[in-house]
Amino acid sequence: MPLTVSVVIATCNGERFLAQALDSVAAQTRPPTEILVVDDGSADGTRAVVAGYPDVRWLSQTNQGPGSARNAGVAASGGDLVALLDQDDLWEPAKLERQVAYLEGHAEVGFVGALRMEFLEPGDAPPVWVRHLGVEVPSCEPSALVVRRAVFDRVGPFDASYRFSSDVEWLVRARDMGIKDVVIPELLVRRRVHAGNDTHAAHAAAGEVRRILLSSIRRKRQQGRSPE
Amino acid sequence: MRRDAMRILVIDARVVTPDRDGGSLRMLRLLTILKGLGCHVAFAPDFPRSFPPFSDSLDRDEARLRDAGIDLPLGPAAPTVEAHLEADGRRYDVVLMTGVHVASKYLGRVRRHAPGAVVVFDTIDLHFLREYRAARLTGQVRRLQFALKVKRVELAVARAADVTLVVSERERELLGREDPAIRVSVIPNIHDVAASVPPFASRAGLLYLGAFTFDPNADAVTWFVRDILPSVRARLPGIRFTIAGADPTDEVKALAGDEVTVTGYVPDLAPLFAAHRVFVAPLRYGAGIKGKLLSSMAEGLPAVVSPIAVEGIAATPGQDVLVAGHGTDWAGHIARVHEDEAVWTRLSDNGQALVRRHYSTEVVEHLVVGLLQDIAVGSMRPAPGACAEGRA
Repeated sequence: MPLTVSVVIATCNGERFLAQALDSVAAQTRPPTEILVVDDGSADGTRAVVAGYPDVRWLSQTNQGPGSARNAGVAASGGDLVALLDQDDLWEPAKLERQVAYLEGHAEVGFVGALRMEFLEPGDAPPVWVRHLGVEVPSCEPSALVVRRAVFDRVGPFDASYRFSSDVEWLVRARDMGIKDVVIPELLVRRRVHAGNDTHAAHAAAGEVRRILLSSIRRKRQQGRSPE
Repeated sequence: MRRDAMRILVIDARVVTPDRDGGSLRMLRLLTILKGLGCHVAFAPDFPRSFPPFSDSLDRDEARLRDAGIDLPLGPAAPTVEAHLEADGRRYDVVLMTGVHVASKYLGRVRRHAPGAVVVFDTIDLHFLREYRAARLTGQVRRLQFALKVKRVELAVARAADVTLVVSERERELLGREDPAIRVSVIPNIHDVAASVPPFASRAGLLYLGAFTFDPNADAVTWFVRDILPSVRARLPGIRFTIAGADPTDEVKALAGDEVTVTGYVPDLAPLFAAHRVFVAPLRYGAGIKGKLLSSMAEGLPAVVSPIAVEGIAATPGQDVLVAGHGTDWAGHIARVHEDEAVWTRLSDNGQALVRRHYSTEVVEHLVVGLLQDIAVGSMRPAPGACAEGRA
């Protein structure tokens, strides 16, 4: 039986790029079952952009960060699979087709990523943290992920106490629990690098990454496993 | 100590001497970045009392680390790395070992006494590559055999570590070709640019900088003085060449003469960089990336270099630095930079811009955070039956 797919897009002040993201969803060769946009307290014209897409469900909340917004979208959606997408990124047309087909054929795999390539928004200067512009990189970042709902049930939601890195924390937690994942070795996601990317706040993000790694090391040590 | 502080143990050959060698400078700055990211950092040298010539400045060098907030856990209770690992290894979340000799010596003990810790092997430069090149240059079979032995050990340590650090994308690719299963991250040298650069007109002469306890440096200056400098003098009569750096060998000291100065150890390098017009890096072998070249670029001093000296550095020849492929190019390149203010200014500006873009503290901090994240997340596994290289 084919699996149903929910697309969850968390956004905050996304009017600049959101329409392009939604268009890339609309162009999927395997259309999703439903599309949800969770507006995390936008103060711009995000709602008006979404209104231009009658098939898209719009949810809103006061600003609580991307982890919380993604959780709201996952909770409100009903598909067997959840495909996340960030407002500023783009999917290649075959993205869902490839990833969903893989999950349909591999019941032992809990979630899949894909190759992604970063591109610089024309007119924006490359931020210092950019490492892989124009290079295909295996990714399990949100825009590349398709996750079984059952995996969210087992691993739990994103930990919204992480302002910048709740996606990384979830990924590490899932892997530490032994959830199996693979990367579909095909370029399916384009990640936009622009002046407004959230990951700019290096020091705050660094503290979170340190916390994630430390929790993982200590978790594995308690389980008697050596780190990967 | 905060309970949520990540505890990192760094095992190096000896207490770092950042005023003497580029490898030490990179390590001190890496320790400082880790400390700045909120980690608790302990530093344990394989030779706790160091060895000559480094032991002379041991007290000062230890004080420098303590001033940077780095813990020095070796002492009467645990006088050696091994004793410290036995007593306290379990406290550490991450153990970083530098260089193949130290890493191969301690890897087993670290796994035994620090179970569960992430083990990082910092190559500094790929030693087997450096040794192989030395063997090729000298034609000595014994050196080649040594290089092959180093390679076996270096690859074995890299495979056994959780993550291996190299200083350049080039060495990452090279290691990846040797064994794609080795997890490699790039943490380069770390340099911040000088705020002010004295102008072209106030400078003259050529500068070399190197720690002469490291063989390729002595080879470079003796070759340069013997084979290159005469042709430079033919174009620029009376030009002076300054050879700076700690612990010059007798062979290097013997190069001193009317127009060649051998300074020995210089506590503050900034005045030297500011007074000279061209930095030369005529290295004929080596590996990794050259801290001396990045230091020179950071100070706005243009450089004329050998291909080996610029290897691994993200510089564009002709734009950021002049690269002399063969002996005949050297004098022409040096004369151009030394005599043409427009060329000098362009190279000076571009060199500083390159350092800012790739090797500044801010940029490397991002790389270190990325490294911690990569360690936490682990490898990205391609779907079976298909192949994907690299990691997120």
